[in-house]
Amino acid sequence: MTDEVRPFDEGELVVVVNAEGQYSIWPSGRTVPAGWTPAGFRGSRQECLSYIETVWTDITPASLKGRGPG
Amino acid sequence: MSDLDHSTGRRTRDLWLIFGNIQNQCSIDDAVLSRQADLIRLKPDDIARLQACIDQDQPLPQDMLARSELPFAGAASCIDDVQALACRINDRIGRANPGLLAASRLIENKETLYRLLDAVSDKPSWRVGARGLDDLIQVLEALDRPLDSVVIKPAVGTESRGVYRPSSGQTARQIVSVLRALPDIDPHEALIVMPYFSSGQGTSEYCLDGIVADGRCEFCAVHEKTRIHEDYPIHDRAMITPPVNAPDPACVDGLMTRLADAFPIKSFVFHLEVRAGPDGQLCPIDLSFRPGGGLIYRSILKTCGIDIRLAHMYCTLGMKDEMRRLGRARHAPRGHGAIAAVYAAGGAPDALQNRLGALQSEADEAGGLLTFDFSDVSILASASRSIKPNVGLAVWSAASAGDCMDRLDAVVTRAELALEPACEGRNRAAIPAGCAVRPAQAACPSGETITGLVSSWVRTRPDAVALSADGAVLSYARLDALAGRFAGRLMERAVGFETPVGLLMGRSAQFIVAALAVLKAGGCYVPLDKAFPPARLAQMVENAGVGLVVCDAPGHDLLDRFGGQVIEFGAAELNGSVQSAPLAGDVRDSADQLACLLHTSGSTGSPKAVAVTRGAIVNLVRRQAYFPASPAPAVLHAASIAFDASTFEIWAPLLNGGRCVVMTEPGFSHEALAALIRPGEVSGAWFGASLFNAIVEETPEVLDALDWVITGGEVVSPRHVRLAQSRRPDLQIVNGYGPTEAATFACAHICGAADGTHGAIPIGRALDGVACLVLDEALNHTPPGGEGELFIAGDGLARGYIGAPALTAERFLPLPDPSRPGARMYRTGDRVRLRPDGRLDFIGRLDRQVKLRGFRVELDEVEAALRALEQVQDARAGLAPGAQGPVLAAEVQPARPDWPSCTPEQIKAALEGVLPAYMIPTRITISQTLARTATGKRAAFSASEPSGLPAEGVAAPAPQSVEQRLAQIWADVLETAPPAPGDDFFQLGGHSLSAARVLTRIRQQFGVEVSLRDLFRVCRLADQAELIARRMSGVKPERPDQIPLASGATEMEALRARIAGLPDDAVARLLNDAKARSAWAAHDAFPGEGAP
Repeated sequence: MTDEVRPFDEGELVVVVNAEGQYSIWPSGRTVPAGWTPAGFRGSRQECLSYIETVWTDITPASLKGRGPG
Repeated sequence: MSDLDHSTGRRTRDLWLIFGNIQNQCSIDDAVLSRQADLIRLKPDDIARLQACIDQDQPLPQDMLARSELPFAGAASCIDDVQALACRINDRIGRANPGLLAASRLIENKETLYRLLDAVSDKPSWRVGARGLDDLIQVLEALDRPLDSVVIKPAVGTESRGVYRPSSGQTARQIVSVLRALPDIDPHEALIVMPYFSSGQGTSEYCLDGIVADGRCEFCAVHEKTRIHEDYPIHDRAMITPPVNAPDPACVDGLMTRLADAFPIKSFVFHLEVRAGPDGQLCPIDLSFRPGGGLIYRSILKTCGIDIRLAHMYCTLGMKDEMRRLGRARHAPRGHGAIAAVYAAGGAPDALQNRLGALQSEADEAGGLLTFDFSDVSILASASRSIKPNVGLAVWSAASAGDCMDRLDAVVTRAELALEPACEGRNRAAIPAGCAVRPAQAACPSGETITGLVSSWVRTRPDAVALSADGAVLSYARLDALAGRFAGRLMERAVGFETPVGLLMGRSAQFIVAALAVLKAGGCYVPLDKAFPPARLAQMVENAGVGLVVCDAPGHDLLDRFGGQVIEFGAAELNGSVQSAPLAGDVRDSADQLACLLHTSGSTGSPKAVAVTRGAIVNLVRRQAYFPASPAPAVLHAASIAFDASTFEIWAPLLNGGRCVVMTEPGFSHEALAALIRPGEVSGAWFGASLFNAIVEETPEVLDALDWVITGGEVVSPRHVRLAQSRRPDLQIVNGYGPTEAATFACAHICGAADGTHGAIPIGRALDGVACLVLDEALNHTPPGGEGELFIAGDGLARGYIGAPALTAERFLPLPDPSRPGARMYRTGDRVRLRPDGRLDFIGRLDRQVKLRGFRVELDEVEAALRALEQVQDARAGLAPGAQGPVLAAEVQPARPDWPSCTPEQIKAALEGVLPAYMIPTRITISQTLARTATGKRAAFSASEPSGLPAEGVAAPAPQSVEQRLAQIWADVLETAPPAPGDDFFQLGGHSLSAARVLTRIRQQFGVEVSLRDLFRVCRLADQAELIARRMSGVKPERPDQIPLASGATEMEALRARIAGLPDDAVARLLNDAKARSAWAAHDAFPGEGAP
């Protein structure tokens, strides 16, 4: 454990998104898990999170978004 | 460090085009001065214009390219991490060379470069893009040239991932199937097919990754793609092109020579990346291994049957040639040259450090092979994205290059270079498997919903008691009718789908009616415990976006500052007759819809609103084995409405046809509890671990009336479980674990008879519908018996944090499970152990881990072991300063004040059977009371408490002062007489290498972390000693600008201090900015105070 790379804390990450429009991060160079696709941004953890902050403003899943109030 | 604005795709900085032949120049500056090269600057607007031409397929603007008549050679953009490293090193060794800035031949926007090359080259190179592996088949099949004359590379990350060159005879489909098998190729990622160039002499490719020192022993960063071809000046980042054929050392030597000839250099610094193996020995890792990369390289090595050992020797051979060349060089550096090739984040394990220290001592004796300190590396970490805890074995040579090589060879041999099986596994995508994982079912398989379940009990048991609160008793029918009526009022106020509604109340029947009403209206409730400080409540309201607050009484301070709507819903609302009527409008209730927003404390200090879904709550309380839901349970509701435990307390009874027994008295008292919990009244309750302990000790009769108890929230005391079991053998005691983000409980353990007697109580197995994944730091599944971080997936997961997408993305990660595409897992930050029986042991928070003499120690684990002792009531552990560095210390509260066997010696003896020696506290203090926080949890151990821990069982303090011992270290390293307090390390002949050695010894002798940066900043003996003493006493490093400079500091020292104090990006900006660059050279005009 001690000496391994911490893939979510160090190194390059890629911003990924799923069909519900939920964003997350994944270590660059690893196979992106099924159901997730790269969102076209990669960078350090902080860069990725800053990017997500700009593109993902509402965490409501896409399938629920059609259901407005009332 | 990107100079691309990713939102617009525009460059934000200038791009320099290089024209001319720069191959034989030390730097571009030299090339320009000798009229061999021109530099043309493109401003962002120019670049945009260029890009537009490219996009619209128009001819490139010749006015740009015509500014020089020399052939186009490449482009340079911002400084790169490697170059930044070189700059800093040069600065550290007092040889700053602003010319380095121009030496970079890096281009970040490769596509622009390729277009430029196309535009100016006589022999346009070609590249074909493929949109993914399927597309690649088409692309390759359409090529009109043999496939072994091309290379295929990922569009991004080439330098770390390598390129693939097909073997002759491979078909397009075969090539793609090879690539498909590579774990780091995403089938949909962009790939580039480009020509393979060879000088016709067999393998013309080689591995190189490093820093090149030139004849003046300064550092140039090599950014050239290190393949040299007559007509094809590829300027790419430092490139690893793997050998595709069996390596021929002679061929490699030749290549290295050609490379050396191509670059005006006198020595190579080659770094061999190492990491610590399981026993602390050094395991070199292959050069291409880095996060996100190296797999193609490794794959090819494997596919081609190339022994990785050979690959390393191969590098070594190449270097040997170079080192021999160096030995013959006329301009061999005199004296000590300083070389560093270090990449690591947060330092490396102490074991590795010790090992490196030993290597360094060996090297010192023989000369030549030096290890470099890596405490400094965190400086690089933010600039260099490929970081891992390793160290570059920097090879330096003055006179004995050959010896040095032999020594390196010996290191390589001794380190047993071998491709470890773990390397393969490390990069495997984690696929949930293993004992602790319960298959997550589809969300709410039964289609059950909160409102639907309550309605079903209204139909089947209308008169059964749903809740009782201080005399008020509501049947299911009445609860439903009241909630329905109030839901109608809420909907009139525009409450609808997921509208957050604040409930400013205490524990009460109204709260539950109102919460159900909000759910019926489609909204989500936001519990606002009116006993919380108004400022905190205001934060929560704002955070959750609450525009409507329901209160049970007027006059709360929050309401004065709340600008939205307020509805009063007092106790009187529960009286009178009410008819159940269907709600108007389309109100649906689905599993993924929000139920409530629960606030947890965030690390930033402001609360985070966890968006809990309705499905998560249903999953929490329906058909789970950790508590008996049948017969219908009567569950105590005594937690704050704002805590996630209340979710269980309220909905576990109401969704199972049971009764919620509300403790309406604000706050908590044992008397109120004892009055409420009478035989037959309450079947089960949740008590936090501290409360559970208190009940066991003070009012154990409460337990007599219960059938089951769930405890948790903190580490559960085995002793108290044992006591409770002995009093009530048939009481079901459950250790429930889970973050709010996983709806209260993610896993649970029903304590057995043996649980209290042996070590910590496990947190058990995942709930049904929940998956608990124990992953190591590389995201691989931990084998049974192993430890790792707990990730939670399944139906219990919250949607995320309202209003905090980045935080959500950071904690809710893709679940690497092909059977659940698109699912997420929550990263708990908790360390757990996967027991062979499949249960989980909680070890501690990842951030409660300390390092001591090279060992990682979980303070939580030490505390748990202490608490498991018969004579111990409670304990806390931490680090305390000791004569030889920090020591593990513990404060222990005895089980009884007069317990005779509760002495430090006896506790240590008892721990010896339980913990490894390094985890046994050196100092143990007996204290009758441990400090507690306001919420009743134990206060964190603070080693800096003045009188906290008198030394017990510790040797007397060392006879010498820190300063005297440090002076001896200086004297040893510098081979001088012991220095005086006012002496300056660098004036005594110290340099970065000797500073590194001093660092190693400081760490060994004082056990504190001091960085190279610190030593450069604080040069005087007395000041360094003071720094060390401060660190030993646990004082955090001060901001550099707060450290007073030694009196009489020279301008150079001041400069050093200021550079050291700048954040990396400021240094980068400084280096990149032309104005500042001249200022740099003049050693003044640094950004003043408050500079970014």
